[in-house]
Amino acid sequence: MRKIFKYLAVAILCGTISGCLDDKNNYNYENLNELQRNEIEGIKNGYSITVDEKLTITPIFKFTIDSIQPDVSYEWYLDGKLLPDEHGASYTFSSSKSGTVEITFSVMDNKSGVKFSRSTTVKIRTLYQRGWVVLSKGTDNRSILHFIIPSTVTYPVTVDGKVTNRDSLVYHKVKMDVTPSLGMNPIGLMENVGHMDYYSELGIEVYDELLVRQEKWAELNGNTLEREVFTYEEFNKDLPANFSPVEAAMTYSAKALLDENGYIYWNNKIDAADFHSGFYTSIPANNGMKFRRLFQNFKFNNFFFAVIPALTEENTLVGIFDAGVPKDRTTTMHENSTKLSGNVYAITEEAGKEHFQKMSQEVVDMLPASSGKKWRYDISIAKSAWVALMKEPGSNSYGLRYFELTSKDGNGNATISVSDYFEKVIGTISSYKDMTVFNNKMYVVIAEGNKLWYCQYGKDTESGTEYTGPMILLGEMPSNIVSISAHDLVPSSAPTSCHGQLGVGLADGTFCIYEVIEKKAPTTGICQEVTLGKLFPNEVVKDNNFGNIVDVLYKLGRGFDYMSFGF
Amino acid sequence: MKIKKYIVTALVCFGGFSFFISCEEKGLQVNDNEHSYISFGRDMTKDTTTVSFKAYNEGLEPEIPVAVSISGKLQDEDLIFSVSVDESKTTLPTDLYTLPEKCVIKKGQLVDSIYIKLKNSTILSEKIMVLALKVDEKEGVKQGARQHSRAFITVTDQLFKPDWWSVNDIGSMNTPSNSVKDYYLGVYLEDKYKMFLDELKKDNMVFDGVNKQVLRKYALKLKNTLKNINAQRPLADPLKDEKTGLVIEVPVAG
Repeated sequence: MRKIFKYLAVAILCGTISGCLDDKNNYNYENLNELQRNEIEGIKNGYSITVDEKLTITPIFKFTIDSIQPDVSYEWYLDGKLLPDEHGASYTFSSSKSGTVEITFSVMDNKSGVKFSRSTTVKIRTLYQRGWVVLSKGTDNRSILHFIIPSTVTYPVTVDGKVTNRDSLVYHKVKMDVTPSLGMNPIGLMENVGHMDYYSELGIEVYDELLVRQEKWAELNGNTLEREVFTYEEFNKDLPANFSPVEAAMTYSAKALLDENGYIYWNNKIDAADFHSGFYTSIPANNGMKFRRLFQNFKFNNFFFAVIPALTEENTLVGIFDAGVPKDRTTTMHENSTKLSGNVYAITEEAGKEHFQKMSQEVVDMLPASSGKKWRYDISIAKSAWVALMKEPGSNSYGLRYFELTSKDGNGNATISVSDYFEKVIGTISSYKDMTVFNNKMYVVIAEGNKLWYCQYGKDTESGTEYTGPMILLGEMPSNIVSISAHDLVPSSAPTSCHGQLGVGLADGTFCIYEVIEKKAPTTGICQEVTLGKLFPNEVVKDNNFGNIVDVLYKLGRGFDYMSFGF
Repeated sequence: MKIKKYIVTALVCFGGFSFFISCEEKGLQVNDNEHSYISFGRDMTKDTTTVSFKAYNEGLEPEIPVAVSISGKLQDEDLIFSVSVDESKTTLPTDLYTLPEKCVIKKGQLVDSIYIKLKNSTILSEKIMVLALKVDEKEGVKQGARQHSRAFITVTDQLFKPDWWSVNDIGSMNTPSNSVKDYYLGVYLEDKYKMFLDELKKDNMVFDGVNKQVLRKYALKLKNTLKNINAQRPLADPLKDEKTGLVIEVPVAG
């Protein structure tokens, strides 16, 4: 009973104390400003700029109540740190170092103190990570490298009555003779696309290298275009006698060189991020087998790009296994994965088909052509494919082949098989110069004398229509064409909204970049009309003469851009 | 009361003394810096250098590198020292080896190699013999830690499976694995090893167990030799190891 009184007394005391507390809460509810459409616009999720390039971000927002003249203050953050001198509605960023930064914009409603923010990622590329490369030969036979650097511009367009922003590339910067003392007697260019560090967890900073075929082949750092090695140096002290390379295939896991005597020399790399971590030996592949040709492979993922094609002396296409992958979350190659790399395998097909055995046609050119269209622009699931330009011997009659090669490592024995095949006759070409592939949109451009021809291949992924139509004249140049290259621009945001870009180097020393404007039948995807729109030279850069042009190449940089371009 | 006073005084003194010494930092001293300690590269309790004359062309007197390292006092000039034989542990006759007259660790370097010349003899075709080396101590130079104070070289003219063909270099404790076996030469067979050595001897090469370029090159040469030999034989009768009867195969890719 006494206890009950005690508890009662404590309860009454508590009630008395709390009853005397002032209620200072504000019960005058007011409507606060919110963001219209709940978002800050005028700021993209990501940007890509080169070092020292200026990027101005001007976010757009509207409050729900004070939509016309809001009383606000602005804050800008760089990698989470407040920029004390930035109080404006826009902010201009630039960096002298390559890398990735996060910029955050905050707008505070001064009436309520409520802050709204949005962040974006800015990738700062090195100057030469991606762009057009022109290789020319000086009067003294020197190899001279020029670089045309793209910049992104964003402009508003109206689509279906709605204003939206669209990104585009402009070419306003040209760097001439970027690598002095490069070498002598240039022949051509090739890109070695390295490991793209798909999840950005390996800290890779150099995504590719540029191979300059010349008197002494040189491999250049993809960011600086400075020479890393002469190719022969990777034989160490085991250089074969009279070594003289003519073709190469290079991936992040292996390198192969075709010597003029027909031998292929193989190099398994031990680190995916180090372009020079492997070595060649003087022992030619497959017990001294002789080859006519060796073709490049772009190895974009670990699983489906494990073949480097080569052509034997019997005109049979074979696959050299290149299955090396790095160990989990490292760049060190898994030695077990390379245990069959360098072996030569026959290409198998379904029963009764032998498209690649002792072919009657000559392979004129064969280029990587993994299709973004087919693989929903997802490079992580794409398979390796090629387009080959074939020629009937002794005639000017040409055809195209498109095919995928699938490789499997089954308990110590690999198989390489054709998983997709298409061929067509394209007609007569009297003076073939060069071919380039627009892998995503699935067409090639062929240079004949001073003419450019457009030709679709494969089949429409939606309607299944086969692109069997003839070549279409794309344009005529003022002088003979020396070299062409493609940049099949596919924006990551809208895969169908950009035209492919074509670089054309002419015998008169000029180099131009065009967009290839296709008009297609919506139901079949068959192209009905195609024209060129000039992008370079332009109102900013008028001089497009690069001397005695030997080769031109669009340098991809990071592999991501192949199917999904980050503006 | 007096006792209490002494205790308090003692505690204060101890406290004061420890106040001054507690923060004095002394690194763990293994070797002093008055002497240069010279150690052999391999731990003598676990590892020896094995030499078989079968790996060398006949008549060749191989010079075997023995790694040495320096600790303690570093030299600002080349350190010259000598090595001699630990006779209590050596079975190799004196006429079958030549020690270097002087050994040098170049200034500024922490590791270097000395070279021991070996000679073949009929006795080595029957026996495996041991040469144990030690560093001669002198003013300023002492032998290194006990495990590295001797270098053991086992010498024979018999063929034996080399360490690099069996060491667990790519597996785990539970699933040991050897890269030479798995990726280059396959299962050890005496005839296969002889053929591999023959390939090396053609170019006067010795595989040191480390250089993968040499390993890959000569494994490929052996694979090609086997292909050419088997091409002359019936398909069902490829070349086999005489002792085991197993088919000689070399898995190296390329």
